[in-house]
Amino acid sequence: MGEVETALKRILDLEDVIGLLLIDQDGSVLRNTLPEEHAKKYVMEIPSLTIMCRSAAREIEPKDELQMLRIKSRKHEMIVVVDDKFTLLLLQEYPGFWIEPPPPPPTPPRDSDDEFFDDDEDEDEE
Amino acid sequence: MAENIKHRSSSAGSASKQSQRGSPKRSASAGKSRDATATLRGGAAETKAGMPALPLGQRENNRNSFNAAKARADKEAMAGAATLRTSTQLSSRRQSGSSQISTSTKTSGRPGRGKKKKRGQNDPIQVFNENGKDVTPKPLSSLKPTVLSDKLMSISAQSAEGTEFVHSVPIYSRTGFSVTSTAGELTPETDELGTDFDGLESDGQEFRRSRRLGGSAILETPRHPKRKYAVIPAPIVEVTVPKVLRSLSPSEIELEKPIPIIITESRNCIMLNMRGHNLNETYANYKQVMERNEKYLQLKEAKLGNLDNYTANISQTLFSLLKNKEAQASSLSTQSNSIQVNSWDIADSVAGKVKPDQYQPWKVVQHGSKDHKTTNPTTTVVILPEIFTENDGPNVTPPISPPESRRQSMASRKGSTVGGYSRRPSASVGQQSRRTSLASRRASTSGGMSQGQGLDDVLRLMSPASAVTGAGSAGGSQGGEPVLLEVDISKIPGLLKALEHIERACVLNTYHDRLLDYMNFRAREEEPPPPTPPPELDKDGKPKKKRVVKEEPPPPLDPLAALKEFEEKEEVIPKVILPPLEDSTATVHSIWDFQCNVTEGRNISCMSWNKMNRHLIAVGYGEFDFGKQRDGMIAFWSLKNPRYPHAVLPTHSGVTSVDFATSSPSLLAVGFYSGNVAIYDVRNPRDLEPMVKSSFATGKHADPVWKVQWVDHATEHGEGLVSISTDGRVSQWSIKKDLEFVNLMKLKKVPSQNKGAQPQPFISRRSAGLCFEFSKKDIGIYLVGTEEGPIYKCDRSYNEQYLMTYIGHNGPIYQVRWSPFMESLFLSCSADWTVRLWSEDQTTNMPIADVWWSFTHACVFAMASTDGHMEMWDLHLSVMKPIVAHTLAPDDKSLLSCMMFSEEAPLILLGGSTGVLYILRFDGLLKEETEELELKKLKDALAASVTRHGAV
Repeated sequence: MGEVETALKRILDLEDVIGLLLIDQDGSVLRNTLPEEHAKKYVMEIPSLTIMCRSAAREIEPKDELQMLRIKSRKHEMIVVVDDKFTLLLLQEYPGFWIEPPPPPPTPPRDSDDEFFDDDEDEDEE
Repeated sequence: MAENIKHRSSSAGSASKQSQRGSPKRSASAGKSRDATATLRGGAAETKAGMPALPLGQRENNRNSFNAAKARADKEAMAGAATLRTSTQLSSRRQSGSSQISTSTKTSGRPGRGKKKKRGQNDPIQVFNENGKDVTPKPLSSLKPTVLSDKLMSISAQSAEGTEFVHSVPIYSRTGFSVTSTAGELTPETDELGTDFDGLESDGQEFRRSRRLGGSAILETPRHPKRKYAVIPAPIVEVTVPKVLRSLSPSEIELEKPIPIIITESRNCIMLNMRGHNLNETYANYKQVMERNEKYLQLKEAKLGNLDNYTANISQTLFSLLKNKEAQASSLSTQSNSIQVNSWDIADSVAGKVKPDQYQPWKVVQHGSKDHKTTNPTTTVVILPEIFTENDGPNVTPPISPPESRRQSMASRKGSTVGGYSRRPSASVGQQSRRTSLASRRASTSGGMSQGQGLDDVLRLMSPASAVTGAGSAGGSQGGEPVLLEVDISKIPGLLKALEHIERACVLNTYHDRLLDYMNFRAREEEPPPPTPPPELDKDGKPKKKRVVKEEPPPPLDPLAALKEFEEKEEVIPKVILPPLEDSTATVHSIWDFQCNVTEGRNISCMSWNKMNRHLIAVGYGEFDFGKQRDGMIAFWSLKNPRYPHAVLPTHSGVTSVDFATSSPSLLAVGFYSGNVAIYDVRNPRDLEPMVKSSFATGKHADPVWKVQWVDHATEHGEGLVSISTDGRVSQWSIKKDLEFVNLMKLKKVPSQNKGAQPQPFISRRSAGLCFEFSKKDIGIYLVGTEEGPIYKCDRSYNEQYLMTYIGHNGPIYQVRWSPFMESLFLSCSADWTVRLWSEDQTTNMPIADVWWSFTHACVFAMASTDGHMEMWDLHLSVMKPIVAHTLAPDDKSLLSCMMFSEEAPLILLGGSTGVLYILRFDGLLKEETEELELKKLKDALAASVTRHGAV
């Protein structure tokens, strides 16, 4: 097993790593350990994001180059390493990240049972 | 043919009476070209004859003659048109006769009709200018009459014999030529023939025969009534006899009307203009040339009389003959590519960062198989970078949702039209087609061309940017699954680095809180201190040194801490639980463990902080015991990845000590169990070999190196490496050329301090050094801890003798450490269960002469020092300070040698060297009521202040 494979396995052995996705320059998936439905979404969404970020980085500082992209969402952290030859995406999830979303505002209870009835009545009338 | 021409020209000439020069004037469209050619030829002859042409100016002459002929033809055409008009009005017999031919060709049901009609259709269209001139273009090609005349004769004869007609343009021209020459003398006969027309007017077939007869008279072919005759149709534009007109419907008449088409003459363009090499007066530079020739002649004459060896001679130089040759070349193929670039793309390519092949936005590959060698643009498919074109037919499951399937079908239709002819088995693409399912799906959703199977060799998108662009243009998701491909990814450059980065990022996320803890950022509230964990012991019973523990340094003078350290250090089998001080707030808790499968089961022998990067630790792995020796290892642990070492250096021998240099932080000195000293440059963690290494030749240690340390010799050669070994050498190494050493000290054994014992012969004259440390106060001073127990204070200036010897430890001294705050203090730890705190200058500890337990108080004992000093200790109250310290009177020089408690009374008896027995009474000691309580008190005191062993 080569160094790369060893490193890959080590990463995948980390307890809070959901999966890893390696896309080559042509958009082909070389490695994928994500669940299928995740992988599809990420393959669709992430490259467009990286190109935007890459462009932004270059616009800000022309000699600069985007190397890594970390997106922290409520549930996950996406770590994307951008290279000429490949795009490496790692999805991490662990309890420390999980911030409970604020509970949705309680829907005002419909105190208008009468209205329901009224509506029904109206409909009946019609 | 020729007879027809003859007839027609003669008839036209007779009708219009304009055939003055012998050139036939006709209104026939077919005959026009003949006339023109004839006059052209005649004109050419005239031009040739009349114009003194230069010998090499043929082309120009040709052009002139052509122009002349054209002009002449125009003139004649005008005349012919006039003839036409007059003849229509006069309705002469001959015209009517000829018109009858044309009508008869249309009406009669003869077998040859079809061919004749076809022939008529093939007749060139007449073109008139605004003046009514016939400017019908004439055939440019002509044949030389002399060459063709014989051949044509035979052809015409044959045609007269068997075929219905033979017609071709060259024959026209040829016959035209012949007619020109003979028209004059034949005119009478045509007149005579014209009489025949009168009789045969009603019968078109007969008339044709008569025409034929007229022609045959010229060619001297025998008349034969049954013969099929070649028929030259009359010009379409003929105006006909009223009698015939009657049979035609008005619309037909309209059809027969000549349609004037106005065509203006365009400018002559000169296709080729070559000057001749000969001159005549008409040339513009004629004068200049003549003058030049004149000058040359004069020069020649002048030269003749000179003394130079000049001879007039004539020589001929060769012209380089030019040859014009036409060649056919394939048409230029053009391709147009376009790409969208950002400004930084341009910047990159200007800076040369982007290799051309790397940044090739697309590769246009010839569509179709390899036999398409020609680059025909029509077979080239250029596909924009947004479009992915790979498709692996069998692997792609068709999309499910209706709109996408519609798109897919559109795309596939496009693909079939564009890439239809490239559908060939994609055996050659092998791997590519396997890993393209996703891309192809993208291609289909982005509305691109989903091409045939062979299309992924049509182009490969090389640029990552464009690839990503293409991905970005992809819309929603698709059916099908990402195919996990077992591609060898170890060859991808930079992937290892990326994996390292991503691993670190990931682990740092995981360890975020703990790292904050490590870095002593207390953003959050202090957690309640967990119960002090027992010291973790590994297999050997040694505490795990790799555990990074943030801890306040123990108070140096606290014997409890010393005891604790001692107990951690030594193999104390029973569980040791030390109660913390009541007022202590110090806590210890585990943050994380640096451990991985690589280092598992190895003994950590040493570690060192990097002096520059404080988050990097070099940890040496090696066994201490002689019997367990195995290969060693150095692992570099970094805070950036607590899960795996940054790098690992395997070593042949066990590592016993490591130290990072200060001045060049990448240098790591390593001491080995084998006695070697090596220096690694760790800038490249892949470099597994040391930069320099000691050897037998350069004088390695004979015994294990127990400590290496970089020492800054500011006054000398910068930073030097000092090592100590059990062979008794303290060596300083320099790496100027190779690793060379200078012995700072050869440790010699000192005779035992025990005065009474007999000095025993030494097995080895050297004292085995185990540790050393240089003083921070004076860089030349250092301490050496030996295996035998003494600690030596040495100076680098004297490599023979010790400045001071500290005797106290009985076992090997594992470490000595100067206090960073108080330069004269140092600690030592030893295998004799003790940690000792030393003051640099104080060496005179007086012996304790006697000690005695109190009979009444379980926790109290007293001791007498030889310097006239008596102390009473109460273990219950303190183990640090005596409860009573009694010193004899200053003038009393007596040394105490023994003491005794009294059982009856609180008395202490002291005996000294002067013969005086001192009796002291003590008061104020608390006493429990019963002895059991006293015993319990003692046990509590032991448990509280010292230790609690299982047995106690």
